[in-house]
Amino acid sequence: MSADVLTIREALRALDSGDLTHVELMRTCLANIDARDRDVQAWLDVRPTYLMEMAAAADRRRTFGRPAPSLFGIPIGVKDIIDVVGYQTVCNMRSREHVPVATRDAEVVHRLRNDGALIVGKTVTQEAAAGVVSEPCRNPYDPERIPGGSSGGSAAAVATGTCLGALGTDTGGSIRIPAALCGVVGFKPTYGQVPLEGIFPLSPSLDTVGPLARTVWDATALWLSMAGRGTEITRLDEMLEPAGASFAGRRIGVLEGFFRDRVQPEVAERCESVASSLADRGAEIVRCQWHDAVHARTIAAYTSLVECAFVHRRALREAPELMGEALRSRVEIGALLPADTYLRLKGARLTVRESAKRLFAEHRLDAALTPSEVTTAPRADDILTWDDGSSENVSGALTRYTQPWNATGQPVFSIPAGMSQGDLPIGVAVIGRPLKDMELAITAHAIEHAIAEAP
Amino acid sequence: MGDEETVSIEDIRVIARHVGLVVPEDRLLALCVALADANRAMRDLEQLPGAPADEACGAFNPSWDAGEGDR
Repeated sequence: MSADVLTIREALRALDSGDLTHVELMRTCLANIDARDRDVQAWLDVRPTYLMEMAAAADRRRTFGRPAPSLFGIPIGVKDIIDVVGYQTVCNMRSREHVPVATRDAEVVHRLRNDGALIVGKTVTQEAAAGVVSEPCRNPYDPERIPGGSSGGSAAAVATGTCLGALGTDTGGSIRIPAALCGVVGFKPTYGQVPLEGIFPLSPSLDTVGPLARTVWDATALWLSMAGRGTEITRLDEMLEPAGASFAGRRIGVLEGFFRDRVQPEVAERCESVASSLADRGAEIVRCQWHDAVHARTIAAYTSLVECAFVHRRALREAPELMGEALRSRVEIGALLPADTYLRLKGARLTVRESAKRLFAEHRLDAALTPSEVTTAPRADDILTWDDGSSENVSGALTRYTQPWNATGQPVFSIPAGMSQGDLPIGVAVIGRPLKDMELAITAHAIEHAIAEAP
Repeated sequence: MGDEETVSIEDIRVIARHVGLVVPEDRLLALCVALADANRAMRDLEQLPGAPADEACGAFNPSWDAGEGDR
């Protein structure tokens, strides 16, 4: 059986049935790295000999006849701000080039290994996870364009078939942005539900760790493991509805206003066509606006600046020349903002969180739908200009639709929704109620099928 | 600086000194612009319906209440 384009679900079945060996699966991932990563540069450190030995050991274990853990032998990439035993956690920072290797796995890596996952290696991130470019990683669909960030390496690694899933982190959109730009699924779970131990912080009151994968099923399986619920993966087929499921009785909010402002027309059109598909399947489409989205974005953006400055305060004083310009600017601005500002942000955050809850409650929404991004993958130095005459750099544009949900902490999936005329991926975001991550996964899975089966 | 929307280079020097930061001269102007933007953003936030009074600031706890989940 060819492992070239397998999902995690397919690989688990093939491995269980004996149609695929762990060695064959790992060999395919490594062959894809050889073939594609010279151009894409998603990976930092891959150790083929060790990985093949691990795969061979997994095949030997299969012969013992013992039940395999729920993600047994699944090759996973890990963003290089997350500790993995035996690897440095450099975070793409010059000041960390010589840090010792990690002696403990981050808690999420530990949980994935407990469920049988094999760690392929570390993936490229933006410096300190603070940005959307992820140099030197390139977009797999067009090497002139960025993969998005800061989990750009993880998204590109999944998109190129060099691993079956990967870990990312999301403080202002860093899972969802690269997922949308690289055509994979990204899931930002509810804030605070997956442990951050062993992960280099960017903005601790916003940081969230989550999965990137090819399908909602796969991302949900990885999230369950990361959340310490790996035993539930074996029941995932029952929990997620089968293809063709009806949307009757489901209320999906299509958010307008802020989430239709300054967006590439074919991206907005694709979101509308997804909404139409859901309506065709019986969903009640509720058109609504969240008027506080603009404030939520402001809150997330400035909270992140202040907290990032706190994280990097010593480096800014002692060796600012080792920081890239984007990180240094961010840290300097954050360091100069007064405590009064931070306290106001904290108070205002409470307000927007409640207003988002009200939006879902008043319209009785099961989930909300928006474009994941305002544009398909841009070039790093593009300036995006809009119909109203305004312009934005890529960082400002790509975080516009994602940051509000970091302020509220709600769970969000980004799902591939087809390709643009220029052959670049387009994604839609499916936003859920706080702490209703599994409920959201069920809805996102059904939407993914509706997209795939739309005429 | 406070609620002023205009931030001068001297303002930046004073704040930087206060927080123990050395800001090179060639970076001061960009920081003036950034802090003026921040002041404008904070003023806009005051328009937030139901914005909490000053005494409520700091009340936000980013973690969620137990028992609300779908487990």
